[in-house]
Amino acid sequence: MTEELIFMTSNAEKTGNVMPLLHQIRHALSQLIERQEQTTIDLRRLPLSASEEAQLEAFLGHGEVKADIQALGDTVLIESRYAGVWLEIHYNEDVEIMGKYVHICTCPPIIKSQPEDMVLSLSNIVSDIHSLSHQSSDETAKED
Amino acid sequence: MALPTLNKQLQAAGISRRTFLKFCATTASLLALPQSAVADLATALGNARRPSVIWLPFQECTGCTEAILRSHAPTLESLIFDHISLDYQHTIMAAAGEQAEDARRAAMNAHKGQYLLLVDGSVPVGNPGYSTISGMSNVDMLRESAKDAAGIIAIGTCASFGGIPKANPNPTGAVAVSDIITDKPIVNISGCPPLPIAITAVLVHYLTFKRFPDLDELQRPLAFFGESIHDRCYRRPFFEQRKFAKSFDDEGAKNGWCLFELGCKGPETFNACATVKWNQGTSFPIESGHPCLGCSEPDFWDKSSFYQALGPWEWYKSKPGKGAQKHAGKNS
Ligand code: SF4
Ligand code: SF4
Repeated sequence: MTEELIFMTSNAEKTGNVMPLLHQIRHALSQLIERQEQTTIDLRRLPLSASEEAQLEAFLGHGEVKADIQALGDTVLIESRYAGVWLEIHYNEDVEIMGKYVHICTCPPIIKSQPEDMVLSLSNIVSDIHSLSHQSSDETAKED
Repeated sequence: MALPTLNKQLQAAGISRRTFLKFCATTASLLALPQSAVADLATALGNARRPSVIWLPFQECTGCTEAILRSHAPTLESLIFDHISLDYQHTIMAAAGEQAEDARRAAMNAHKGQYLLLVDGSVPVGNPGYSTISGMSNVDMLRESAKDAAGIIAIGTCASFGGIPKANPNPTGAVAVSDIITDKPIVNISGCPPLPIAITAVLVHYLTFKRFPDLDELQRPLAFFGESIHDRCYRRPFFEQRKFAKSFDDEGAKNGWCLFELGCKGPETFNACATVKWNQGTSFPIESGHPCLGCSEPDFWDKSSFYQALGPWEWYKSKPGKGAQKHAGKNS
């Protein structure tokens, strides 16, 4: 998508921050490739009008990955059409946007399983297997 | 009596680490901390002990309480609020009268020097009988409860600056918390009502760093009050171009032009409405076509008509930036 296209929307409210932001993303992507340096841009800290935010999202578009995370409200992760550039949106349970970020990285941290949750998972899986094995031995006993 | 850590508390409530990280990411953003600090924030906050909180509602309309407690728990922004030990809040607690006051004093004794005091509403000193709780005047209860508090958070414009009860002719002799208590760290989170997320973020900052965040000269957290509504208003380009709505239904209003001439107090009002927003994050008053009333500033009720322009455009146009640099980096 060209610069011309980004500014073709009819909404007149503009802060003029979309182009500098796109250049920042381009720069961060080259840093990621050259030095494996990850960048997070907090869109909430930038003055952007609603129409500019929509322009930015339209420019980034959707790539191959979309993930929904349910954690006290949804979190949506979209890899943009530019590999390595991700859009992350945190919602609360009232579907209110709590945070919006552009990550320039190979994988945004929130998608990874967390060690603390895995410890709990291990104890859950142990007890679930235990219950299942009891259940199956009960069933075998009944059949006998 | 040591209260459990937040990690323990959250785990017991079935809150996943991922949810907690999401909370930390959004709170770091609100506190203007870099996203690279999220992991450290999560570690320090998770290991913090659940704080004991005593909340005193004084001369108020319950709007501040409503704003904070309106959401059905647990929501992301109320995550910390749901896990503090709220030992006293007479509007919502089951106990009443002497039983409630006993709970307040018991919490003060058990957590001497460590509990946080939250106050909403102004304090009437003209005649202390105007507002009493269990026969005790607000001013006496404030002094008694503040004595052993680690710090005080004044919630809303009434507790911060006197607010509407202090409006002319101030019939009750209403004053702010900081007019009475002068020897404790106080954070003012003004607004009528205040942004609930600002309260959560200040609590998080306190629990993580063991101190309140940097404050402006009116003791408000800079992360939320460092910039004016005007600094972050999406209608600002129209202000610069001198394109104003002159009435609520003219062409300018329909085009979304600046509301300065309709009395917008945004250029003199410091708050985060333009970025945090209201109504499920979809808008703030200016986005709905109404000027900012200036509700987070002292004496906003008495300043002038809500619909009278602040002054000549040229003056506000040439006024130097009133953003974060203006404020001393005061810290309590
Ligand atoms: S005067 Fe009000 S409406 Fe106009 S730009 Fe400033 S804050 Fe926005
Ligand atoms: S926009 Fe102005 S009047 Fe409205 S809540 Fe925010 S500070 Fe108060």
